Amino acid sequence: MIDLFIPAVFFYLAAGVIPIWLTGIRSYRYCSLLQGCAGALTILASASALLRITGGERISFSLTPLFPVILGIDRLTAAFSLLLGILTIAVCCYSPGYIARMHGGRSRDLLCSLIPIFLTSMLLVLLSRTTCAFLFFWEIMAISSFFLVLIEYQDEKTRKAAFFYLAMTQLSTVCIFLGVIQLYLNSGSFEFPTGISITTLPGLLAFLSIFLGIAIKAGAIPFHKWLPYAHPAAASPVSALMSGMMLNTALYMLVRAVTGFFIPNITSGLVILFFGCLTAVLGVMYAVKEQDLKGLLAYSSIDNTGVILTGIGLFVVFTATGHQAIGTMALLGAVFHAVSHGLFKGLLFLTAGSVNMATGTRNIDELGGLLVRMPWTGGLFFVGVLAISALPPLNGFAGELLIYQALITGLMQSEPLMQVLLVIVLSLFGLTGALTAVCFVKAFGLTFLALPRTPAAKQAHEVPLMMRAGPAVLSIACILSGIFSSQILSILGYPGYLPDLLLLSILLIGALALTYAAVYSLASRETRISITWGCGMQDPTSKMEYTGSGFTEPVVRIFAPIFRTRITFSKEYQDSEHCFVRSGTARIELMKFFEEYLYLPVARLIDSYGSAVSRLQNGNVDTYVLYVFGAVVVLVVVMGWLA
Amino acid sequence: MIEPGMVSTLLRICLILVLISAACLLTTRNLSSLVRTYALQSLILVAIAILIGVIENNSILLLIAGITLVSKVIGIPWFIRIIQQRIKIQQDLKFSYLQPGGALMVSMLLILLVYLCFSRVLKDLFTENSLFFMGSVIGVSLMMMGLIAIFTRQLAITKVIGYLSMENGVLLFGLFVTELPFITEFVIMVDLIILVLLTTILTVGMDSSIDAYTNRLKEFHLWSEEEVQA
Repeated sequence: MIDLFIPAVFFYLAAGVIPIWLTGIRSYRYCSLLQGCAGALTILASASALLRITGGERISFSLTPLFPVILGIDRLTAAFSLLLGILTIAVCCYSPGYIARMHGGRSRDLLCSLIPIFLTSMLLVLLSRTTCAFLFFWEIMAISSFFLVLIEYQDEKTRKAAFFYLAMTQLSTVCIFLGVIQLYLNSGSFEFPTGISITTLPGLLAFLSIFLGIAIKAGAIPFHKWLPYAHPAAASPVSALMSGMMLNTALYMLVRAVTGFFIPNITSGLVILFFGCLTAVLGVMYAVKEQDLKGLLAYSSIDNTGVILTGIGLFVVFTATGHQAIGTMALLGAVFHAVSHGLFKGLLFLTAGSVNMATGTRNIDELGGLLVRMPWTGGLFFVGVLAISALPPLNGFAGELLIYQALITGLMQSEPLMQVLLVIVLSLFGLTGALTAVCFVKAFGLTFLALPRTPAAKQAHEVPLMMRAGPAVLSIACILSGIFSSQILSILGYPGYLPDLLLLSILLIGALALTYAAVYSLASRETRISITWGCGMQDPTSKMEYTGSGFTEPVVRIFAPIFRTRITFSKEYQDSEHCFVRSGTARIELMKFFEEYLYLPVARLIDSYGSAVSRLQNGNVDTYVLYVFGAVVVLVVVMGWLA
Repeated sequence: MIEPGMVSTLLRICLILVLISAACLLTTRNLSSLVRTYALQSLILVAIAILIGVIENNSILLLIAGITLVSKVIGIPWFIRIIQQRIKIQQDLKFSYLQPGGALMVSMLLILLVYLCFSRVLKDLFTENSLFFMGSVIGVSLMMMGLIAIFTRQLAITKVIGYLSMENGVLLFGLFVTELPFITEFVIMVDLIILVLLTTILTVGMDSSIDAYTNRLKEFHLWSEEEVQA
């Protein structure tokens, strides 16, 4: 079935080439059509590979004898490539309408052209079976995504976001590169290695380099800063792909590394677990405070990266301590949640893009009342919200339930010290789940319910059919993969890990129907006309509604030590004795902890180093000759010394 | 036939003269003297090539001596002198990083450093043939003194002479340690002549400093801001 991926790649590349010749809506349509074919082929190939219980297929070719390129498919790859295929279909339905409404001429064609290239690079990263091929496709993924973020370069914020992203993604590539070198030194081959022990120094270095590279790319805290900048700056289909697929590509590599490259070791497991918990809790806390809808989704992606990392960390810890079955359950949870996250985050980003397109703003405080104006988009967004809040029977619930089960089962069977650790993880995991629900109640409630707070929100209209079709594909996938999660795992050879959610769904629907019937039959038939969300007031306005800041204020107060707000104020006095205040300003802002204490000091250090280097590079020919002279003298001395 | 002992003494004298000429190149401010010193230095190299050619009975060295005489002793100095007659500047008074006295001191330290380092690097040559070892040390030192001339002088004409002096150092090193093929020597000579010709044309009379190149080119609209933007 791997052969089917080859035409898929060609279709993707052909879709990337079309906007070079054609321009305008025609180009977007043809491009999307080809992309759709590629997506369908990817789904077909992935599904058939996923259903094969044992073995994996490989295809190998070599650009140069030194750097072999081997592509392969097994069930882990297939799970992620299936997600890529579904996201491709969703994005190709959604993109033509979205791109046609964007500003900018040629940059829209460029966007259209770069998306298939980005998708190809991600697919090839998933299929890679040699480290050098992986690194090559990983870099193409990084560069193409950088240009995708930079598309609307006229805006200064976009430029800043893109260059921040470039710096971080290149740092990630450097770490991966160092890891690849270490892997080569360990195994002596560019093929994916197996059985490297991290108890030796080269093995430990390889693990740390690869983990760091992946953590940066996946947005693990404290390497997450590029995400909240890049996602809001990028176009919505791009954000959907970056958040839904690119982060998962990085996490896929981590799964492959811990299940194949390295022998499970408790130290590496604890490292992953620590970063996982930190990322999950802080990610969702930052998301709760965020007012930008896409920024909120970006922080939520960080939170989900943390959840997946926690699952992977638990797998390593349990496997290293001899609880293989519980480890498998945690890993299944991590992979299932990764795929689910791709689906519902893609859905949420696409619908958020529709909201942005319809209202011209992403600020939650400037929205409201959109459900009656954009019922389809609101409904689809609601499905995403239910899924991400891990409500049964949707797919977000199934993944998290597996991780919870692994935690609780592990708690029963572990030693006392490990039990303490697992209790901490469990409580943090619970906190994350609760805050996620708070966060998305805010996102949905303040965006779609109540009254519109601005004229832009008031005048919003539903987006065209195809822009609803894309998210609809993902929402159907979210619902089906949730309801049939138990059956899916059974088909894949893991029966009994999850309760039957199909039965639960039938019961839920039955209960809903009964409740509705009861209310319908018992309710009064009198018609009462009142103002929505009136709360007993005579004439409520949108100014009286809960704002995003107000909604999250209690949470912010509880976690004040983590949010670290800064209050600044200034006053002007009427008199010289400072008794009567004439005017004043007060400002409460959230301190950007990691930016101020981690990134900026490093940036300042690099800046001062850069200034010193730029003084050396002064454009004077005599100075350069002086450097050459110095170099020759040093060379002579070194030569004499070594002789 | 000259006796080998006599040849060796003559070679040592020539090497000392080469060092003196290099020191003069670093300190002389008069442009005419500078060109004359360069021609003299090249002439000494011709003599060295002939003397080594006589000792080793090597006709290639004689050919090298011939082309050095034609190009470096006669051709290049003659060409620079013609240009010099057209320009008004007679003295080179602009220095950067080092004044002539300082440059001389640095050169002396440099010779000592090269001597110490090379005594370890060319250990065999140092014990077997002190003359050839000395030749190699002075060759490398001459090359580096040429480099000093390039970055301490500001006028284009003196910089070019610095380059030419560097090449003399390479030739000297080649004569004593690694004999370069004749064709290489010939190509280097051709390169040098072209270098002088081109520099002359570009600096429009060699009366300007390197920084003035750009301004002059801008005057001719060869490198204007508009074109760069276009």
